[in-house]
Amino acid sequence: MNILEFFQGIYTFTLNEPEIVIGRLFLVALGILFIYLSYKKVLEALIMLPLGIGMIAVNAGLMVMEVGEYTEVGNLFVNPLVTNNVELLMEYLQIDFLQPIYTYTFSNGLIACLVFMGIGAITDIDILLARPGMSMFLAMFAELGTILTLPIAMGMGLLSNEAASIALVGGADGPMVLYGSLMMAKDLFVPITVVAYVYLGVCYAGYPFLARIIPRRMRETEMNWKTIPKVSAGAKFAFCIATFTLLAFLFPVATPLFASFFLGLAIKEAGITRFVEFLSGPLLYGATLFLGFTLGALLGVDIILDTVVLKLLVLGVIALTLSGLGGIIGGLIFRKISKEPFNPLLGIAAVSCVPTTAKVAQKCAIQVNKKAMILPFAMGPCVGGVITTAIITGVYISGLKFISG
Amino acid sequence: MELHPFLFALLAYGIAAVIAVCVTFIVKIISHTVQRKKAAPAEPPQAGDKGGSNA
Repeated sequence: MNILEFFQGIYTFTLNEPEIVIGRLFLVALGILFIYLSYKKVLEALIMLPLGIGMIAVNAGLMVMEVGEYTEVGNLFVNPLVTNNVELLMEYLQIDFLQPIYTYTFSNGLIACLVFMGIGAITDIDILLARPGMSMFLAMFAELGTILTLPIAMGMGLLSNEAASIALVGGADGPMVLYGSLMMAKDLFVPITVVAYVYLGVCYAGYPFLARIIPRRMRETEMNWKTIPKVSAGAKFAFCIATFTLLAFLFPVATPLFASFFLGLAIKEAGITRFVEFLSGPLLYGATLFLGFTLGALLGVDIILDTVVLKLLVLGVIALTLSGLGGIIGGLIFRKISKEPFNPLLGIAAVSCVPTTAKVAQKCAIQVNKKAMILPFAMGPCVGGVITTAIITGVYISGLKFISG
Repeated sequence: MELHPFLFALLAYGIAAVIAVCVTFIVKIISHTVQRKKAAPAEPPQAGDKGGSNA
């Protein structure tokens, strides 16, 4: 009798290869680091705290288990590899407690759609409608990373579907990356989504450094938010329906995502308060909690031993940096052509991580000028960025077959 | 038809830009329509609504 068999998490170290043992310990340490940085509010705690707990759980809590006729080292959380074997899947659904969440909400993109409904219900589109030209102009520039990362990733040896999925990180929209990678590169959706969420968490700390390339006198620019025309609820509601109908006609493959976002938005603009409370509270935060926790539980050691993951890490940085730079360039150009005082930091807000990048733009402005109140304007390009990212996601999913190589 | 990845990315950007312009126009049209409706008088005054009596 081996006394270690009482403590299966430790006992399984004796059954693993050395590199697996090191990998497990590394991921446990990384999970603890994520939790610490979430606690310190350096990373986005809503996602990264449950993700860190999930990572520790699946890398520390391994055990010898019997599933059907097989004996294997596994955990009681989730097994993403059984989706093609119905009998085995039924067995795992009764063993792993996160398996139902994964099978019924991840593999079909439902979880991303639920998060998007909630985001729709908390999104303010007043500035987008009051200043559509400015919002969409900046949003298009802030897609630079989404566009350029695709050929760069293929140059680094990724397949077209993998390259398109990681390029979506440049859009800085977590649910969109999750949905897009599920549609295009199912085998890599876990590392791609984790890379996206980790980097989006770091954006809040990283973009202020990028923003310093804008001359200080420009960052100080004050904008008069009292000049923003008032937009009626009817106009906002009509915009939701018209834009959704157009996008649904153009990209049926991404319509679940569009439908979820515009449903949330339409409910908000229609003033159905009971639904708004549900979507923006229990649904959004419930989905975010299980999204983070299940993603963490999917981050087993086999993920980091895949050499593609290193490339994904590099490409994620490239995508978000290029998008940030694109937004800044757009901001500087718009400042040139604008007749009113314009703060180019709004370009950063156009990298569409709602509302993080808008808050980053405001934070950078207020650091150099306490009176520079640009947040009301920042929400326009921020929401415009969500729409342009959704469009590019649709184009990528629909057009993959046209890429050579 | 197959495109070089860079050309495909440029095409995707072009498509997104065109749709972004369409979205901007949708906003403009909606805003314009709503403003016109607000500017227009709610009901044209009826002959008998002026008060008083012609009798």
